[in-house]
Amino acid sequence: MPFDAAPDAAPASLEAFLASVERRGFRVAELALGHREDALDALQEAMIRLVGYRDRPASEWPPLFWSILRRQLTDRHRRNAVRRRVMAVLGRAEDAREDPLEMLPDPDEDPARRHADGAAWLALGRAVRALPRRQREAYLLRELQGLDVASTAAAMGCSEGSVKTHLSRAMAALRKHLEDWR
Amino acid sequence: MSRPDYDHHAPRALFERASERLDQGMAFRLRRAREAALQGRPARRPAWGVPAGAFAAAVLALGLAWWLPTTQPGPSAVGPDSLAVEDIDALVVAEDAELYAWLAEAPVAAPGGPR
Repeated sequence: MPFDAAPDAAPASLEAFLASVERRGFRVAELALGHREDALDALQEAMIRLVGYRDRPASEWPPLFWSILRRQLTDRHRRNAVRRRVMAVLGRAEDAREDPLEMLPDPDEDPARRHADGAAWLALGRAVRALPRRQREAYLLRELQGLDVASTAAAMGCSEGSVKTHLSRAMAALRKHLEDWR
Repeated sequence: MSRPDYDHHAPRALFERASERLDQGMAFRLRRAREAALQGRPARRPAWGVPAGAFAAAVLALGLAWWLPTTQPGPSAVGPDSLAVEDIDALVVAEDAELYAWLAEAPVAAPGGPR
């Protein structure tokens, strides 16, 4: 079952909140979009938009932030899909947008482990991006980010039951794609 | 014959490692993006580079340079060139001082081409 890894305590300030979620938000965006620069753009846009809600109670920031980021990812995912179609029509291969060496770049880490993690990260990203949109969102927010069901439902704009359904289907689909991970 | 189930904890653990151990360059860019967002300004430039404010200032500067010499002729007029330069400088600086910060950080093209 998914766990709750996201910080629960209300942040002391908006800056503290953003600092607490920026890395995870970036990684979620990177998995969803498959490109670091796109991910950074999406994350920054989400941060800028959240600042517009700084007067809201701090307890509302997490679902707001993840909801805004989810919309950013949806928009950019669609744009990327259109770009791929256009490039395909033009007969041009899209630039390589994945670099496994950029995935877990801790220079002090064992190179073999780093390489394995890099390959695993790419495989995870491909599998996640192959999911239908709602399943992808449920998996990223609930399973990886660790939002609880209610917060995931708020971020996705759906019922808690829908979150469970989407997540269950996502897990089943990923089980096929990631069966090497045993 | 049943296959062993894949370890669904593995992606979660990988995600945790990836989030905790981000490279320093990206961590710095995230911090800068956060600071920029809190100050209400974009930290990143659009792909085509020059911000709209700087572009507008450049157009205005060109317009002034074109217009001032023809409307203030004669030796008794205040030196149009020096006046125009001062005005343009003031306009550009006031319009987008951020441009210079960006220019200072922007990569400089090398004679050998992009690297």
